[in-house]
This record gives sequence, structure tokens and C-alpha cells, in this order.
Amino acid sequence: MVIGATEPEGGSRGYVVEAGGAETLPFYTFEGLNPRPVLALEVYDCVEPLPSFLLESYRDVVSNPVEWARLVDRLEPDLVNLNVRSISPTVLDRSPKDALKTVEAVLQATRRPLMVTGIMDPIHRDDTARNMEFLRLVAETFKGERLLIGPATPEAFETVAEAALANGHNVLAKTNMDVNQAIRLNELLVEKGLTLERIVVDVTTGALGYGVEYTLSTMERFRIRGLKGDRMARSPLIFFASENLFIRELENGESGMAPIYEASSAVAGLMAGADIVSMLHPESLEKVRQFIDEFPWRGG
Amino acid sequence: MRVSRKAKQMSPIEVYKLLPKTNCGKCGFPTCMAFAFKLVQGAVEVDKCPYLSDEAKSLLTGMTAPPVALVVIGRGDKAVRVGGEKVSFRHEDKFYNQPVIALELNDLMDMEEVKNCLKKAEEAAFERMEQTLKVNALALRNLSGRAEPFVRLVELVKDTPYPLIVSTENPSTAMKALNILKDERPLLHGAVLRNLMPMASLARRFKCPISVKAADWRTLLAAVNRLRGIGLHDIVIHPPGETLKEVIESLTIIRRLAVDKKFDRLGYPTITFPEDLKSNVPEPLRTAAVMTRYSSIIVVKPETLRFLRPVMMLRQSIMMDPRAPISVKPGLYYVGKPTPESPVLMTTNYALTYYILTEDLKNMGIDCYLIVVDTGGLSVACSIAGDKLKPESVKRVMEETGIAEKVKHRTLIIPGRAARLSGDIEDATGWRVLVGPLRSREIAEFIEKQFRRE
Repeated sequence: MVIGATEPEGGSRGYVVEAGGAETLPFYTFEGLNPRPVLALEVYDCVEPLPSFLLESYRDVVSNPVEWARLVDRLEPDLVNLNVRSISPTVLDRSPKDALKTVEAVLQATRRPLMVTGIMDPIHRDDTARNMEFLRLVAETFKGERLLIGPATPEAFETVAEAALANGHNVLAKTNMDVNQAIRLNELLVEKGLTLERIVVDVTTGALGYGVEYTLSTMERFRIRGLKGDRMARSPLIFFASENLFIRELENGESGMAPIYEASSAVAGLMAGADIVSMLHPESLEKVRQFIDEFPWRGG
Repeated sequence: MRVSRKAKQMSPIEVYKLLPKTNCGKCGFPTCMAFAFKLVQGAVEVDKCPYLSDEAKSLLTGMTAPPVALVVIGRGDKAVRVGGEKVSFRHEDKFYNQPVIALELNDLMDMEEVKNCLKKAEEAAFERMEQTLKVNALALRNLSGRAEPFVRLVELVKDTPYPLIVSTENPSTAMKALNILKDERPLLHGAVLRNLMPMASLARRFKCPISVKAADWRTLLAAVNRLRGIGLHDIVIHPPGETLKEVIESLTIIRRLAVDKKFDRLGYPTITFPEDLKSNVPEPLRTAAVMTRYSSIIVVKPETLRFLRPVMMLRQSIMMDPRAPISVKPGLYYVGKPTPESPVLMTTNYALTYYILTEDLKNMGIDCYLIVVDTGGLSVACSIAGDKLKPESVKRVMEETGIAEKVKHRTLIIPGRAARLSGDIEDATGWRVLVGPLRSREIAEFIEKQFRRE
């Protein structure tokens, strides 16, 4: 998968990032080398779900997605993940059209390849409808930028798939910790015309102590099936280490440990086959990068 | 009994030939053939047949033994089990024995420092889902190079509740330490090619497990052979490698060869010292990495202890049995002292869901009734996605438990993530349904604002 497009390619990014392409099990360096995993940092367009300790440390920044994107940009992640949650009727009920301004501003604030996600846990049917409307607008408005957009879910995937296809973007396919569901959704997206290298599989991440074992095992099963030749299991995998910032242990006085929780979980995700790891705490990125740096990767 | 570790997987027919062929039924199966099939599946113990020759027993036990040998360190209450693993990926079966986290102490520390470290180890322990997550062993290292301080260290910690790892490359120092520990079964760590036979004879004399370290595979395999040659089978491998990459490779190769190729010379638990590696990676991340790659014993330094909570939570997570999500019994539970005016909440029977919810409710001082619905042990989100949370099941639990007679109202609070079922549950139960918050810690406020207002 390629995320982002430079100016000659019709986009405005400073570089493009490649994700996926594993040829062997993760960290089986004695068998062969896989491409270097992609590290993403998240930017939220509203503070509603964020843990209080993050708000306290980065108050001036996190309340402004553009400032936040600039901070994230300086930390040099491979990819920026803009989460637009404000469109949820139960959050800020911002209109998808209005939310496009934030996407535009973040695209101005960083030249790094961008991932744009809507409401990642659509609870209400309204959320899903909002996601579809928003993602379609994003796809159309930023045609040529080769974004990664999502989530596409088994309940709602057509709109995202069609919009991504028509406008040259990639799709984040989200299912619920079940390898067969993940493969099924891939089949549905492929039927819509998307190719597998344009789908990132998100099997849903559980935090450490909150179901991470389901995520890890689902990822391992998916990757093993893909390597054994199941074509529908050949997409890159994404792991949201950021889920760890929302656990109660951190709210209850362990907040100084937040980057360690997030980075430890990122390591577990990588060991299970994650091709992209998405993180939220600005201090987690460097730790995980140090980890990745100590292993050899295909193409250096 | 000596277990033949040579035995490879046999077919039921081959196994049958070793059985008495009398169809006596003492094993609980009607025929010897049926018993043979069960043995091959690993579904029954070899001992169930009382008429086996020693040779047959040895062969069959070897066949059914896990590809990663089980080694017990410590004795009685202090004992920890390492190894005994059958697979490389937990979804293929499950992981049987949790990675042991061993706290490193050394004989350059003074008494005060050792006590301080032991205190830190105690403080690092915490309760989670009715388990205590903690340091499981002490690794004593002979950094002074002398016997006296090492012996003093052993004396100082021998009555702590931890099984011990005695780490020295000096056989005479090791002997002095083992003399103090007598039959406590510490793991003797420090055998290398150079001191192999003296260390091996100590392990034999004190009947303790022994770990062996080598810089390369050839030396390692030769060393394991020699240990087995003198009848030692409680072996722990210290895998080759000086960098994180090398150790991860070694650990992976050992497990895959042991499990996939039944390569029994590597079919032993492993011990790693992630903090001794040439690495810039933060210590907890190194620990997490070797833990997800099968290290049976992970030795950590006292300074790292306070950063290990996430790693211990990771350990608890990966040790969950994937075949049987831990679940609680569906039914009616009381939280605090509910009255007929108290709210009625509903959730699924995934143990983690139940545990987190009830902890939060208790901490917030809420008295309520909790209806736990059978979803096959799936969480709320998973059961919704997999269509395992059925409005009819909600109805059934409510009827069976007679909740209607216990409260005066008819309002059921369902989890935020079950919002889309609210109408269906209302139709099935006839109760008014309130959709609760997404996070259980917001329930107190919800009850105050939504439920009480009604």
C-alpha cells in the first residue's frame, strides 16, 4: 500500500509512505526481511474523548488540531492520523462539511501522508451515517492526496469503498476481533472494485488487560493465512496502541506511565504482525522507533 | 520413571501395538484401540492403563509429553512451573505456564539495598481479575566473583516467598549456595561449556534444574546432549544472542523447532536477561518483546520494576485461554445493598466486562441489581458484532431470576455499546430500556441524571 501523493503525483505531500508487503512472519529475520513498519501519530479534532492527563500536559496544543498537527509533524512520524470525531451527533454534532475545514487545515500544517478517520466506534446508527457522509466528502474534496480513510465496517462499507475507488484513496476496514469477519469484509471491498493493497485491516485493538489478546491472535491468524496463500488475507494490518491511553489504570494515578503502556502494547502489536502502529501520546513514538531501529528491514 | 524424549508422534496403530490388547476397559475406554486413539490426541493420561511395560510407558509418555518440557523451579508453595508448552501461537491451543518474571539481585548490594529491592517487588504486585500479578522469582547473581558475599545474599533471601535462581559460573561458589538451599530446587544458572560437567554434577547431586548458556547453536546442542547423557532432563536454555534481534531470533527458532519439528534437544523452557543486551530500547519494551516471543523466565533489574505493570497486564492477557473466554455465570447479581427502588443494569457474561463493571459500581458506591446475560463469554462490543446478545436471552434471565418481584420500577439500563438493541430488548422484555453510558465509570452520573429523574 502507498499512502500519500507528492505534487508530481497529483497530491501535496512531501513524500509517500509504503505499508505492508510482509513476506514472512513478523520478526522472523532468520527467514527473511519484511518492510519497516509504519508509525502513525494521532491528532484529534475535538478533546471530548481524550484522557485528562493528556489534556493537562498538552492543553494549548490538543484543543487546536492545527497546532497539534504541527507538534506531531515535528516528532517525525511516518504518517499522521487525523481523527474527526466531532461529527458524531453525541459528541459535537459538527456537520461533515464543516469538518472538512479541519482536514484542509491539517493538510496545510503537515506535508506528511495523512490518514483521516471518522467515528471509530460507531455506536449509534446516526454515527455510521455521519461517517459515510463525511468520508465521501473527504474522498471527493481531497482527490489525488491518496489518503487512508475509514472506517469501513461490515455494516457500512459501500460508500467509503466507492468514494475511495473513484478518488484514488485507501480504505481502513474495521471488524471486531475475528479473522473470518476481517476476511469477509475484504471480500466485500474487493467485490466493490478495491484491490487488496488499498485496504488496511483493523481487527479492533484492545488495550493491555482489556482484550489485547483477541487482537493479537486475530492479527496472527490473519497474517498466517495471508502468508499461506489466502489472497483475501493479504492486506496490511493496523494496530491502535493508542487504545491504551483510555484505560482506567491511567486515570487512577498512573498517568506518568502512559507512554510505557502505549509503547509496550505497540511492541506486542508489532510482534503479532502490525504493519502500521497508531499512537497518541507524543512521547511514545520515539520509544517504539528505537525498538524498530534495532531490527533489520527489507530495503534498509 | 525415565521418560523417553526420543519418542516421536506415533499413529494409533503403532500405539495400539504397545498396549496389552486385552480390551479390559480399566482405562475407561471399551477397547485398547479406542484408548490408543485418545492417547494420540493427547486426550488421556498414559497412566490410565495399569498393564503397560516400563518401556511402553516411557515411549508413550514421551509421545504425549509437551514439545517444550515442563520444568519446576522451587519446592512446595514456592514452586513455579515453566515450559510445558505445546504451541507457538496461542490460537492453536493456549499457553500453559505464564512467563516468570524474576527480580535480579546481586551480591554487591548491601543488606539494606536487598531489603529495599524485596520491598519494591512486593509493592509491584497488584490484584487484577482475581489474580495477583507479581514478580515470581529472585535471580541471585554472583557479580563480586567471590563466594562469601554470594553466600550471604543466599542466606538473606532464602526464606522469602520466592523460588530462587542461583546464578554463578563458579562451581565451588554454586556448591556453597546450593548447600544452604538443600532440597529447595533452585534453578542453577551459569553453566557454560567451560564449567559444564562440574555444574551438571551439582545439579544432579542437589536434584535441581540447570540452565545452560552457549554463544552458538552447535555448542548449545552439544551441552544439552551432555546434560541429558548424565540423566539431567530439567534443563532451561539461555538462548544465544547479545542483541535484542539475536535473542528474539533464538527464542523464535527454539520454539518453532521444538513444536513444529519435535526437535527435542531444544524442547526446553528458556531464560533471558533483556537488560543485559546491547540495546537502546527502553527496558519494559524489551521485556514485552521477549515475553511475546516465548521467554519462560525473564530476569529484570530492580530499577525496572515500577515500569512493569503494562508488561504484567500483557502477560495476563496472553495467558487467557482462547478456547474458553473466561466467563461468569449468567444470572442476577447484587451490587452493594440494593432496594426495590434501586436501578437494574444489564451486561454480558465476559468475565472482564463483569469484573470492570462491578469494580466501578462498588467504587462509586452504587447499590443496584445486575442482570448478566449469556453471550458465550463475549464482551458487549463483540457480542453485538457477532449477534450473540439476544433480546430473548435478556428476557429469559430476567424471568428466571424474578427481578420483577424485587423492584418496584420497570426500567432496565443497558450498556452504551448495546444501544442499537434497545428497541428489541424493550419489545422482548416489556421493560423500558435506558441506554447507559459507553464507559462504566460514567454510570454514577448517568443514574443520577437519567434514572433518578424518571
